[in-house]
Amino acid sequence: MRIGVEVNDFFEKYGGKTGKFEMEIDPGFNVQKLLQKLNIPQDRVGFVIVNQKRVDFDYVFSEGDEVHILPFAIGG
Amino acid sequence: MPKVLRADNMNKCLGCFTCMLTCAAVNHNNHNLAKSSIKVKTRGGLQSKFAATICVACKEPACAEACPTNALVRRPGGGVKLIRERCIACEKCVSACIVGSIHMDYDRKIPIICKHCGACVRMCPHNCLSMEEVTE
Amino acid sequence: MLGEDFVRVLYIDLENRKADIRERKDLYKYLGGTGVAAKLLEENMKKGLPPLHEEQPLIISIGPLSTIFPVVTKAVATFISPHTGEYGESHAGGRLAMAMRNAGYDAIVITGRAHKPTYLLITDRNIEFKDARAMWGLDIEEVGRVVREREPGPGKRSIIRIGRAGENLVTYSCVNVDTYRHFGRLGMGAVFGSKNLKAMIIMGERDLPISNLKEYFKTYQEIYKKATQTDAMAKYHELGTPLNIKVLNAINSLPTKNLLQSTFEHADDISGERFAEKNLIRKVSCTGCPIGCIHIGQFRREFDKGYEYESIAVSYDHELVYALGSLLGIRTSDEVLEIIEEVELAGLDAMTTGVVLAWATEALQKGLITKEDTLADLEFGNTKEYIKAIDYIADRANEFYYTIGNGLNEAVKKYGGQEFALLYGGNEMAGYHTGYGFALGQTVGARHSHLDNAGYSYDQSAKELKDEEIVDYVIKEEKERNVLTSLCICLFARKVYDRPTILKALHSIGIDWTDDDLTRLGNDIFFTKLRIKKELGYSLENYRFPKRVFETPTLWGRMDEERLNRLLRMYIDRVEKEYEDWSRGQ
Repeated sequence: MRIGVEVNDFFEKYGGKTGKFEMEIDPGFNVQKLLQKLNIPQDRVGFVIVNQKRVDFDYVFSEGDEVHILPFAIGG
Repeated sequence: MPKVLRADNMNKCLGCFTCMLTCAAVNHNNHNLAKSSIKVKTRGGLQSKFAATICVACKEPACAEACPTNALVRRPGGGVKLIRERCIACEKCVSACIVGSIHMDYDRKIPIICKHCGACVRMCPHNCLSMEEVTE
Repeated sequence: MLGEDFVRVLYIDLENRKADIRERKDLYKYLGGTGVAAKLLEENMKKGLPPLHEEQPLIISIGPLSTIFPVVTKAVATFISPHTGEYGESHAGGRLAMAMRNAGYDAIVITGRAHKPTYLLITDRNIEFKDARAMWGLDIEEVGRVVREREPGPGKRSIIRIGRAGENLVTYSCVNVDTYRHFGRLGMGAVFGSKNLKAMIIMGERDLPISNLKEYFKTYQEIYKKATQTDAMAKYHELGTPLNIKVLNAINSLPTKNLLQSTFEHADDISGERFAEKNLIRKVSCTGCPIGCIHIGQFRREFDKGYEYESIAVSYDHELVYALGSLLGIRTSDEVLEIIEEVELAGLDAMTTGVVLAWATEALQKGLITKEDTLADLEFGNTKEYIKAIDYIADRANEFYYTIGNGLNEAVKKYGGQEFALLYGGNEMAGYHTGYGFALGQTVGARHSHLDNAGYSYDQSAKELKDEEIVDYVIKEEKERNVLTSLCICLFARKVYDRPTILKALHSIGIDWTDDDLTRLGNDIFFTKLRIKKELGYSLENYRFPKRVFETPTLWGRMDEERLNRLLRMYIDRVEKEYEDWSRGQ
């Protein structure tokens, strides 16, 4: 099945893909696996938003999910 | 081969002055960056670019020529070495240096002379400075 | 003072044009920064007199690690805030700390009012009171240029100054520090103005020998490495804090159009990424910081027909992009920079200015005020009209602008609209509508800054919200930040300077403190500030949050008013109890 992914530019330095793209995934695929695949260190992730809602790392994707991966906002 | 200090990438400079703090500490045992040999300045106001005034390692150093007591001697690769005991703090070297790289440490009564030691290069976070190998 | 067991305080009396230096052993236990500045405020303030009375003091303090360790870059100012009428504290980077260090002053206390507009020249050798009559009325950039050209010492000096807003005593006027940094919040610019003080230039060539070079430089290098080679601070250099815009927008936390919304349809167009792409021309540092978080953005403005352009460069960061961007519905990065420039030249606090204008926009829409009041057609997204209004604020152009020049607390007394005036603890909101931690934190923080206790950080990292935990976090974090800011460590480097690192740095310059000493210090400063606040009549009893903050979703959904009030109650009760215990122990 396919999901829409958006990775914040912040994660560019870890070498994975950033920006908006689509991905083909197997059933049972969860956030943790997605982060691994995208080369994003889990401890650098602030928010994983799926269909406008914050989810945990064990969230299992469904067809058509829109996932947005972001760092924490920082003090300014 | 001897090495000399170059400041060829000052367009990258953040103006953090770590080079000056390092030089003042390591070479002059002082926390005041006024004691640094390398001097970073803006070209005029903070909105302009940064520039570094450094010893350009002259092969024929005017500062040494101006020194009446031979306290400044040519170093291999260019620039000079200060022989402190000979210095009478006449400040002739200061005006002789046309790039303005020499200034006085009035507390110690000696001119502040770049040793081309490379400490500032090692501590520059943005690779503005480098050491270049030169012939003797 | 480096290598000594006292704090070297320069006292300046503008009224009598006198200066005096005292070596204060008794202040040594407060280290410096916020600790020393709070104590000096307490002993010099006149509690019966108004904040802008000439006898009220203005204090600036640095700490023992200032400039000589990486990212220890801040100077801390204290004063009685003309904005809130109570404890005022503001921090600024730039070159000021370095200049004070080199001039040999750990703290400066300024009292009195000069008979005519004056600027101060402060060096290790002398203090001069100089005529600034011709500078009165000049904008921040011009006054900087004039002082720069008149005085010696390029590269090693700091020039701090006010603009028209400070002269006109706008209660949220700032003091500009070396062009790109500011004592922004709580109205220090008006304190300068009330003293007829237009600018200060500080520099010095004081001999500062190092007592133990080997240990000092080893420690210096370790910290330098930690700051530059781990990614603890990389994000501050890369996109900088505007990285927040996209993040906050995605989690319903970006205050937009006076917080009618917490997401912004044009967030991408004013995001850190967009600024970096379109406007970023360079990054600069405060003295002694190898990171370089100050982002300079450029835009061009057509000033005449026939392809006549000027290019303008100003610094930008998250708070500015929020307050003068999303909160006003501004749709492009160029326009945000254009508004920032106006705020900079006038010498205003960007955050409060944005919040005040957002309120005025809505008040005009709702008919609480009219076009005759505002003179400008304030509407969300209308850059040109906001720029006019910024000038009117600085000039206090009419009765309406005079009133809003005293902040929203005063504005709502006269015009109403309290329910959508974005105030927390009497100060205009910072750019994080993240939830209870932020809302409580800014309200109770000693200087009503989001940085007092970083409640926004709690809101983001918490897995679930627990009342006890929120209150606990806010108190503990503020005490810990008192330790950092008494040392004048930039809060961006808080992860670099953990307790063992702090102790090591202190030890390397001959200050042998323990972990317990630091804990005691953080606690003492926390309650010293509370004591000052109480003296000045501050209380959070009967405090009311603006309705608006409950109407717009946060990261945690809509906040519940009762719950936030309960949190505030819990906070007050706990702090009061601790305060009593602490007072007894004093």
